Amino acid sequence: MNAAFLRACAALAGLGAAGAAGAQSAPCPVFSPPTGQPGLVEQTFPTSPSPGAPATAWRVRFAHATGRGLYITGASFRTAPNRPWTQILYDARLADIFVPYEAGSPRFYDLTNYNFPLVPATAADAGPCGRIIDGKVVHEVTSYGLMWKDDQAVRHGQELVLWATLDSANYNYIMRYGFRDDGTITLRLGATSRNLPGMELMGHMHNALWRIDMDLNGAGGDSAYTYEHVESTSANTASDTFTPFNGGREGWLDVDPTRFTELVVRDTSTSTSGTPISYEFRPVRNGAPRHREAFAHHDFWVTRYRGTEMLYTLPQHVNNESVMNSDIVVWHITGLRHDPRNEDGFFQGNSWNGVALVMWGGLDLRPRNLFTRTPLFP
Amino acid sequence: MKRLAAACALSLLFSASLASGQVDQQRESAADDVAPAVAQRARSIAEGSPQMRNFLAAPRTVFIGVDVVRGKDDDGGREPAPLHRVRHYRYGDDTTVTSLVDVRSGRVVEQTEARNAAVPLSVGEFEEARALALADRRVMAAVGSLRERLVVEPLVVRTSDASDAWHGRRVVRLLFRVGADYLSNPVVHVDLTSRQVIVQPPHRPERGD
Repeated sequence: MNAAFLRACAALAGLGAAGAAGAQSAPCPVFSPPTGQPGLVEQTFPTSPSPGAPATAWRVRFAHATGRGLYITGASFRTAPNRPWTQILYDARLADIFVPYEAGSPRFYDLTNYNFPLVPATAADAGPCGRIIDGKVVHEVTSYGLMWKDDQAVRHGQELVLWATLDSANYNYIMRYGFRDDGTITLRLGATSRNLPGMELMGHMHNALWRIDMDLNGAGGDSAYTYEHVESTSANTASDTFTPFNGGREGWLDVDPTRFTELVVRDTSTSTSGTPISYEFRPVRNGAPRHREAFAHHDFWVTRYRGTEMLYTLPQHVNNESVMNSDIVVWHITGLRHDPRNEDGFFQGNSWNGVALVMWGGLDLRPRNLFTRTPLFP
Repeated sequence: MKRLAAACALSLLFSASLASGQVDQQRESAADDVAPAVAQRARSIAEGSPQMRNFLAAPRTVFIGVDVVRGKDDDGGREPAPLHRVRHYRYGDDTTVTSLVDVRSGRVVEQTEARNAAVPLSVGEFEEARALALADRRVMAAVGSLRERLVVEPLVVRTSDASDAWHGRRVVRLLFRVGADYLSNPVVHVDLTSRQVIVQPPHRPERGD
C-alpha cells in the first residue's frame, strides 16, 4: 500500500493529520526478522524520538512441553546496537500451580498433576498483531502504554510477548512472558475458564509458583539483597536499607508493603558508569497467599543453583548455602484469589453455564543501572 | 467516495488476514517433549540400576514418565547436552524414585527416593481410574444417557497434611465433560491405592453476594 493511498483512507476515516501520520507507519509494532533458529526470537526496539533507528533489543529462547507449559530458557538484553548482549535469565518458568479450595480439600497441583498439553493457538488468540509459533505459542510485539511523558513529548513503550495456554482439565492457565524495551521482564499467570465442577461457587486460590534462574551477566557473580524503604508517621524523614539477603545465606523473604520490600539480584559487573547492574523483583498481586504447606509460608525464597532442584518443594532446597557472589535461583509465590460471583454463571440442568474471567498475577523484574544512560529518553 | 471506502476496507481486510494468526512458515519447533526412543532408552538405563531392580520388585510399582533436565552444571557452566529424569511410583509406601540419567553414556547420575512427592499421574493410572469409575453403578446412574458422550479428565488430589485421610494415597478427581460443559454431578474421586470409587454430591451452597 502506498502512503498516498493510506493518507486517503485515514482522511476518509476522519483521522485527520495525526491519524494519517500514524497510518503511514505500520498498524502494529514491527517484528524483527526471524532468527531462523527453533525456539529463539529477537526483537529490536526503536529509539525515541527517532522511530526506526534501533536502540535496545532482546534475544529470548523459549520451550514448551506437555506437563510443563511454556517457559523461558534464556534471555539476553542489548542496551544499544553497538553493545554486546548481556545475559539476564538462564531460565524462568512456573514450577507448579497450587490450587487449594476453602473447604480444605481438594488441593490440586495443576501443572505437575498430569501431562496437560498446551491449547493450540488460534487466529483469535494472535489477534491482528500477533503471530503463532509452533502452533501453540503466541508471539506479539505490543505497546504497554506510556513509558514517559514530558509536556508535549511522549513515548509509548513496546514489549515482546510470548504466551501460551495450558489446558489443565477445567481450567486454562495463560503463561505470559514479556520483555520490555527498557529491560524490564514481566512474568504473568492468568487463570480462567470453568470453575471446578461440583464446587462451582467455592472460593479458592490459584498460586503461581515461579522459579527464576537469574544469570545476570553470566551464571556466577550474582548476589541477593533485601531493599526496604520506611516512611514514618511520627517524623518527616524516611530511610532506606540495602542489606545482604538473609545475612547472605539461602532462606526466605516476606514482602511488607509498609516497608516497600524488594528482593534485588545484583551482579559483580558494572555498567560503563561504574555502578553494579541489578534487577529488582516486584510482585504484581492482590494479597500475600499463606497456606498450610511450608512452601507457602513466605513470599520469596532464594537458593543457590542446583540443576535437579526444579520443583517448588521448599524449604527442602534451603541448606544454608551462600547466595552471595554465586549462581542463584529466586522462587516466588503469586496468589490469584478467586471468589466466584453471582454473575459468573448459572446452573442449567446438571451443568454450570459460565466462565471464570481471567485473573492476572505475577511479578516484574526491573533493571537498575543496566544502562549508562537510557536511549529511550531524548 | 464509495469506491475509495470499499478499496480501503478491502485493503485493511487483506492486511489483517495476513497478520492475524499466521502460523509461522518455519514451524519453529521449541517443544521439549522427549522422543519415544529417547524416553525408552532413559527408562531402560534407570531400570537397569541395582536400586531400581529392588524397587521394581515391589508390587504395584508404576513407570510415570521421562522429561528433560537442562544442562548447566552446578558451578554455573553449561553442559552440551541435557540429562533425563525418569520417575517411578510405588503404591505400597507412597514412594517415588527419581533417576537422573545420561542417555549418551548410559549412566545413572543420581537416584533419589521420596515419600509423598509431587509426581504426575501416568496415562496408565488415569486409564485405570477412568475404567473403575465408569464401571461403578452409582456413577453410571448419575450420568445416565450421557455416558456415550462423556469426556473424562483427571486432577490428582495431593495433601501434605499427615492427618488427612487421603495423605499417602493416590487419589484422582475425575471430571466429566459433555461438549464444552462439565457435569456438576456426580463428584467422583478414585482412590487408586485401594481401587475404590468415592461418589459425593456436589457442593451447592447458598449463593453469596
